[in-house]
Amino acid sequence: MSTDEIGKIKVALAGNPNVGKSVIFNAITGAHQHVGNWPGVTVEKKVGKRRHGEANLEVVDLPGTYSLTAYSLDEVVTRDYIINEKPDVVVQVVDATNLERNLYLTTQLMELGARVVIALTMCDIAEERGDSIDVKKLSHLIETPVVETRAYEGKNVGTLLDEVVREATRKEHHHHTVGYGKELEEKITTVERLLEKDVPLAEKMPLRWSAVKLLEGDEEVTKRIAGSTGEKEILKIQDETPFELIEAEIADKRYEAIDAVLSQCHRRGERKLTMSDMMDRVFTNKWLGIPLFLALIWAAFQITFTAGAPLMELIDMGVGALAGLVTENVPGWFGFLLGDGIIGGVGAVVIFLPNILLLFLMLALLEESGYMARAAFIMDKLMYSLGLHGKSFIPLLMGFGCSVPAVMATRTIDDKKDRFITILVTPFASCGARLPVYIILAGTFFGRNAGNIIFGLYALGVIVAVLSAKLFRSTLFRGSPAPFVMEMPPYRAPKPRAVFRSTWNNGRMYLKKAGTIILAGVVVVWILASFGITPGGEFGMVDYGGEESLTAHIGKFMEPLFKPLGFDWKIAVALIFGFVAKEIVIGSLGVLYGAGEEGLSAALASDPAFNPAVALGLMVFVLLYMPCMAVVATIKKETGSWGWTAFSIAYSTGIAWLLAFAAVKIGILIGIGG
Amino acid sequence: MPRRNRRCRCSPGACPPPQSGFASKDEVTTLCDIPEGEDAVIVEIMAGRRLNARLSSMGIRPGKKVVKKTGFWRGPMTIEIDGTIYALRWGEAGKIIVKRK
Amino acid sequence: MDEKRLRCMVLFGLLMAEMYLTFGLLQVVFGITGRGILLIPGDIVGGAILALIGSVFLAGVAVWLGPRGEDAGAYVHVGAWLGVIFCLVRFVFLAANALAFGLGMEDFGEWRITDDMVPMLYLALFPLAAMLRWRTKSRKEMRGNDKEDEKVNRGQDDTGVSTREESK
Repeated sequence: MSTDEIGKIKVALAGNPNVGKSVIFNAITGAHQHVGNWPGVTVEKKVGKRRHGEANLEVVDLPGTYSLTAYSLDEVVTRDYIINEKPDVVVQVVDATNLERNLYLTTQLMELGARVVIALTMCDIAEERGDSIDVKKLSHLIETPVVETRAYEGKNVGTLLDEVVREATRKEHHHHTVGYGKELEEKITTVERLLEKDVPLAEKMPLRWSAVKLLEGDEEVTKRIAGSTGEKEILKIQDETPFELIEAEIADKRYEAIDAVLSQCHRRGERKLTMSDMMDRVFTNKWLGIPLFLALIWAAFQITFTAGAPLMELIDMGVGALAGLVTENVPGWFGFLLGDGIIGGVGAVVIFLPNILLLFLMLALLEESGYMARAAFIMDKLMYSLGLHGKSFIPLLMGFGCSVPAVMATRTIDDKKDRFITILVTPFASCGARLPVYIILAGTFFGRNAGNIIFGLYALGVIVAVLSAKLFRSTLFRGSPAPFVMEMPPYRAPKPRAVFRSTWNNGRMYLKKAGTIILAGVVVVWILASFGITPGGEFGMVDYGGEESLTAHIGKFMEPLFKPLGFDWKIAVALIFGFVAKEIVIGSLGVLYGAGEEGLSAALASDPAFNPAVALGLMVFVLLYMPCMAVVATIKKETGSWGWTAFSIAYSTGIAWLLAFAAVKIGILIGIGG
Repeated sequence: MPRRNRRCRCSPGACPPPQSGFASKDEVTTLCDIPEGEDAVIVEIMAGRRLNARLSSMGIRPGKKVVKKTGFWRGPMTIEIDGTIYALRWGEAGKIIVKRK
Repeated sequence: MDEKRLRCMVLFGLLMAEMYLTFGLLQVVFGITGRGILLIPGDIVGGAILALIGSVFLAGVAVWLGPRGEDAGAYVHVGAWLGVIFCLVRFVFLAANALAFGLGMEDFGEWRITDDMVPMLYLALFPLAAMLRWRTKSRKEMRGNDKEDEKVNRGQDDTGVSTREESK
């Protein structure tokens, strides 16, 4: 590409985790971003656009990685993108406080044949630590543009982009290589020659890199050469190669090369005690760490629910007023559909928006401040003994708020087995939507013991989650949890912009869900409850949710399944509707008893079909049975498999049935079944 | 002879096989065995291919000076290398052979 | 950090440890017995958290007496931060409850603003004052604080400021 034909420039953003990559990405692309998934995997892919001078930049945010091995999904995604999509420039975000480790990735990017531009971040922190970096000399020594950036202040992003355009339009591309020593280099050359023979393959893959990877025994690359002309000979060479030794040797040589450069342009200062060190001394202290963790989590949850309550009340008033206005003024069944069905139903979901936003605000604060990594650290021992990973703790905790973000939060778990187990057990943490069901039922049938019963249900949820995790670990996902090695980012004051961006992105997703899946679900429920076979034998509008409605037919059809639990068709219908959102269970019972939510307590108490034992069984069932529609959709998206989604539904519903049955029987045994 | 307190008693298989250095007078032990606040130099990492590669790409590799920051009894611990803090489990720490000064 | 300053900090830590522990334990006791007096209502969880903050201060004092006394500042510093953070949390509760009262939500008819005047809120005045003082002091000590530097510092976290102070 020459200067006069600058058109689109493909830029990929790479770097280690926790180096401020997303900050740079946001600073470059601003609001012009699109979030999706990499094809076939659930690694998040962010793409953004930016016009810089004459050039149109298309920026892809690659996952944060330390290396480019085939051991983790993130790494495979990164290197496949660079090999297959051939971005014009790879911008590597480099943390100035740990140059050595960051440049390790640089050596690999260069070996892949990428044109690299380095964006140096956290220079201020490095300076504070007393480090000094001669940026010009570094850039000269590695023959790669290095730009100091302070993306939070928007500084130097322009300079960075200038360099990107210059690099993309440069004709000569200097191929950087790290020398691996005589013996290895000879082998590499032999393999390269063999690869060269297969011309179509050789054009697709960077030769030197492939040769190195083949000598390291990289499985992905070995698969790629299957069927090529040199395959047999290469496999023979591989047989004679001690992969582990070679891998270690190559890593050593890379670090040697880095050290040679850094010793000329980087001076490490005397390490001083920073505020971050001081905080770590307290927060990861073996005596204070756990209580402080509990206190912070308590505060986060209290804020979510206490501060959320009045805001929910406000939305509730608004939705109620709007629904009333519509039902009064829009004539006919359409008015009912719009008012009761759509506005009421979607409103019931939107009402939780303050809670969701606050929950995500708290989580964003914990994440941005760097505490989240410490939480995983503190909980790892407990989680490990349950067959889970330290990082599983965060999703489980979020599950008490809402399972949807909780399941999404499992993305931070690298290991697939750990991740799937966490996804499968997270819905057992009793989410906020189940609480209204407990409040009504326990309040009606257990009076003064209601609080204990509700606490017991939360505990039951946790116990089922824990035992299921153990069960899955010993059957479906054998093996022990993945090693726990995690970088602890330094503590820092959360940046308001980053916090609000992450909070709002999650909130927006929730609203989007309310506008699509839930809207559709609510309309279906309304139609089923409104139409039926009239006494005249005709199909038409009947009493909403009454004996003749389609829902009643469904309920009666399902009744035998619920009979052993002592549930009649009304409860069956309520449970089916509960699939849309669990709080709907109570709303549906209200409709079916013709009592509204206020009079429901009295109506339930006077119904002979209901007694404390049945109520207990129902609560257990609601706690454990299949997660709501939105969660099911999220599980499908995150596991990428209908099979696991179906398994999750079947498993939870099966457990729910068994335990509800046990609860009812125990209730009858202890004499509350009358 | 310097005192060597508590030998690493991690899960079976997690402990490195005793090697020549282990029995000699050198203070060669694992990360499990150095007290909080002390430093040491990594001599070798015996964590298997996969974890070895991961650790070295994270900058946890032989020749590096490591400081043990805090530890939860036999639970996870935090260490510092080159000014970066890492957390690892007791079991993984048992695979990192270090030499004390 | 010089010796005199450290001693000052530890003294402050001791004072705070006493106050937070006393108020915290009182709240726990009141919470269990179901009593409570004006400005110190019974609250088991809240009291336990106050006592925990007190323990962080106390840990600072204990460290000061130990072999690595210079680390004591860390605990006092973090303790002060915790006091302020939980004060903010309590303040959010206060605002939310006031809003709920304003909206006339059920359960809030009886609410009075003194209900939310708890130790967690007002005790934080001490660490807050101390932190402001530490901060101005470290600002003064900072060399070459030109306008640019000021701006960076304000936009940035407090970590930076305290680090400088720590390095003195």
